[in-house]
Amino acid sequence: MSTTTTTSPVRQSATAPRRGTSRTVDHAAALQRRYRLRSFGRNLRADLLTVIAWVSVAMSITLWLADGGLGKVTSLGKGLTALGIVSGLVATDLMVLMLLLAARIPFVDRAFGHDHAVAIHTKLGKYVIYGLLLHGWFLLCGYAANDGLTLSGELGSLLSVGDLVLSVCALGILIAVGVSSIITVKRSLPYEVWHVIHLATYVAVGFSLPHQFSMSGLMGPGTFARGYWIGLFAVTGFLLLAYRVFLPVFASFEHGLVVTKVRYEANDVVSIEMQGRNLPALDVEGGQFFHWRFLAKGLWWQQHPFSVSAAPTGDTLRITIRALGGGTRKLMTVKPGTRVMIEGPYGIFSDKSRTQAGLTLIGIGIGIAPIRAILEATQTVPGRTTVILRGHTPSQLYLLREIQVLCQDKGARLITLVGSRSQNRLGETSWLPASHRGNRLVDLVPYVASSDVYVCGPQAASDLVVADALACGTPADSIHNERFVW
Amino acid sequence: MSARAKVAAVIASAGVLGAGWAVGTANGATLAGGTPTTGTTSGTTSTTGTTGTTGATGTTGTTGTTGTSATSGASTTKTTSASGSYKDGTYTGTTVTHRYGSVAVTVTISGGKITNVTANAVTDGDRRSESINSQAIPIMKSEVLAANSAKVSTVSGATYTTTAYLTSLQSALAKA
Repeated sequence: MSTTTTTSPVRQSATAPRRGTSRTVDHAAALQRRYRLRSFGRNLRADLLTVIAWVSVAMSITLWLADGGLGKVTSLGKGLTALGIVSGLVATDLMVLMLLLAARIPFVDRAFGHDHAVAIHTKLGKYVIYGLLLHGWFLLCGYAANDGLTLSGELGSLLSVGDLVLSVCALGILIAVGVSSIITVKRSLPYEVWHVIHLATYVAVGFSLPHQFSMSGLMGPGTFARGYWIGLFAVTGFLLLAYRVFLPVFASFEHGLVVTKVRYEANDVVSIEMQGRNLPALDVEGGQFFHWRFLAKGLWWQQHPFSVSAAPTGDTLRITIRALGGGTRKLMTVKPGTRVMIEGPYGIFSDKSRTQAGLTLIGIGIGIAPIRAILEATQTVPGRTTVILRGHTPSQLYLLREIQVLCQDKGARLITLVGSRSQNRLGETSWLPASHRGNRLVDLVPYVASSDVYVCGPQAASDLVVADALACGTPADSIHNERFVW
Repeated sequence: MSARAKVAAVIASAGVLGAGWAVGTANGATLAGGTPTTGTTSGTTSTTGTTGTTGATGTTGTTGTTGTSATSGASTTKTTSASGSYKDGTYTGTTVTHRYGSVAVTVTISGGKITNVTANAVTDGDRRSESINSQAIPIMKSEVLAANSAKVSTVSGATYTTTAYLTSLQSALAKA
C-alpha cells in the first residue's frame, strides 16, 4: 500500500530569518493564551450548567421537604408513599433536564458540545424510566398499606381515576421510546422511525401532566411548588419551541438556501454547493454542522446532519457527502435549484474548542470533509500544524487537492495514509496502516502532546485515534472527536 | 464532569436540601401545634366541625383526638335499629376524625324517613384523599337513602372516610 508523506513547501522553506522565527513564537504564545482563556471560560460555563442541573434535582426534593414531607412519614405505608413521591419528583426534574438538553440551546450546546449534550440526555433517559417505575411501585405499595388493601385492589381503585390512567399510558409511551432508542443504537431501526417514536415523548409528557397537578397534594392549587413546576414546564416548552421549531424555520426562510452546484468528488461522494441570503448572520464556523432538508420529491421528509466542508464565504455554503445509506444515496441525485431547509449551526468541532497553539487534524474517509473546513477556518502556527488524511484507498482521500493548497497557505504538514488497519506486536488493532506498523501518533506528530487533536471519521477508527492520542500524552480536553448523534 | 463542578454541585444541592428541610420542620411544628401524636397531623381538621348550625340540637362535635381510627368521637352512638321511626328535622352528627381528615354528616328526616344526607368532609390537604372522598360520599348517600338507615357497608378503597361517615351518621340518627 502506498504511503505518501507530503511536507508542504512552506515548511521546507522555513529556514526563515531569525525575525520571522521569533514572530512565529510570539504568535504561538498569543494564540496559546487566547485559546487557554477561551477554554477556561467554556469549562466554567459547563460547570455552571452542571451545578444548576444538580441544584434543580435538589430543588425538586426541597419543595417536598419544605411542604413538611418528612413530617408525614409516620408509618411504613407513609414511608413508601414518600419514597414514591420523591422518586416521581426527581424523575420529573430529570425529564425536564432531558428536554432542555435536546432543545439545542446554543448556550448549552456550546458549553458541552452538541454530542456530549445528547450523550447526557441519553444517560438521563435511563434514570427517568427507573425513577418513574419506582414512583408507581412505591406509591401503589404505600397506598395499599395505608388503605389496608391488596395491591390489586389498590390498583383497581387507583385506575378508577382518569388522570391516573393517562399517566400510566404516559409511562408506557416513555418505556417504548426508551426501548426504541436502545434498538436504534444497535442500528436495527431507521432514523425516521426512531424520530417519530421519539416525538411521542411530548404526548407522554402531556399525558403525565394532569395527574401531577390533580393528584399531588404538593402541587395543589395555591402552593409555591405548583408555581415552580408550572414555571419550569413553561420555560422548557418555550425553549423547545423556540430553538427546535420557530428559529430553524425562520432561519430557513430568511436565508433561502438553494442548491447551485453538485460536484462529483469520487465514487459515491459529491460536494453540494448552496447559495443563500445573509449567510454571515448564521455565524457558522468551519467544522460545524447543520441538519439539512432538501425540498425535493422523495427527499423532503428526511433530515441529515452534515458538516460544512468549506468555511462559508459570503453567500455560499458547501457540504461534501458520501452515500452511506438509502437516504444519502438519493441525495447524490439532488438537482441545482432545489430549496434547502436548515437547522443549525451546531457543534463545537471547530475553532471554538481549541485549547492549544499546536494542531493535529485527522480525517478518516468522509470525515476529511469537516477537517478541511476546520483547517481553512482556524488559526495555525507554521511548523506546529499537521493534517493527516486516512483512507483505505487513495481515491478515499477526498478533497486532497484543496487540502494540499490549504496546507501550503497555512504552513501545515500534510500526511496521507492509505491501507487497511494494522495490528501492533501485542495484537491490538491500530488505526495506522501496515506501512506504519508499530508506530504511534507521536511518531508522526512529535508535538502531538501539546496540540489539539481533531479526529473525524467512522467511530471505531476514531476511537482508536483518540486512545492513541491519549497514550501519547495529549490532554483529554484537547482531543476533539465529534460523534454524529441525533 | 470536572472535580470543581462535582464539589460545587454537592455543596449547592446540600444547601438547597438543608433549606427545604429547615422550612419543612418549622412549618410542621406550627401545623402540628405541639401535639405530635401518632396518626396524621390533622391540625386543621379539628377546627372545622362547626356545621351544626342547621341542626335542631346544634351540638357541634369537635373531637380532639387526632389520628385514632373512626371509632373515636362516637361516644354517644346508640344503635339505631328501628328504621323508619325517626323524628322529622335536620340533625348533624359528630365530626369524626379519621386518618386522612374528618367527616360530619347532616341528615334530614321527613315523614319519619331519611330524605337527604349531606356530608362535610375535610381532608388534610391531600388531593388523593379528596378524590377518594368525592367518589365515595355520593355512593354512601345513595346507599343510605336506599337503606333508610346507617346499616350499609363501607366503600372499598375509601374505608376510612366511609367508616367515619357511618359513625357520624349514626350519631346524627341517634338524635332523631
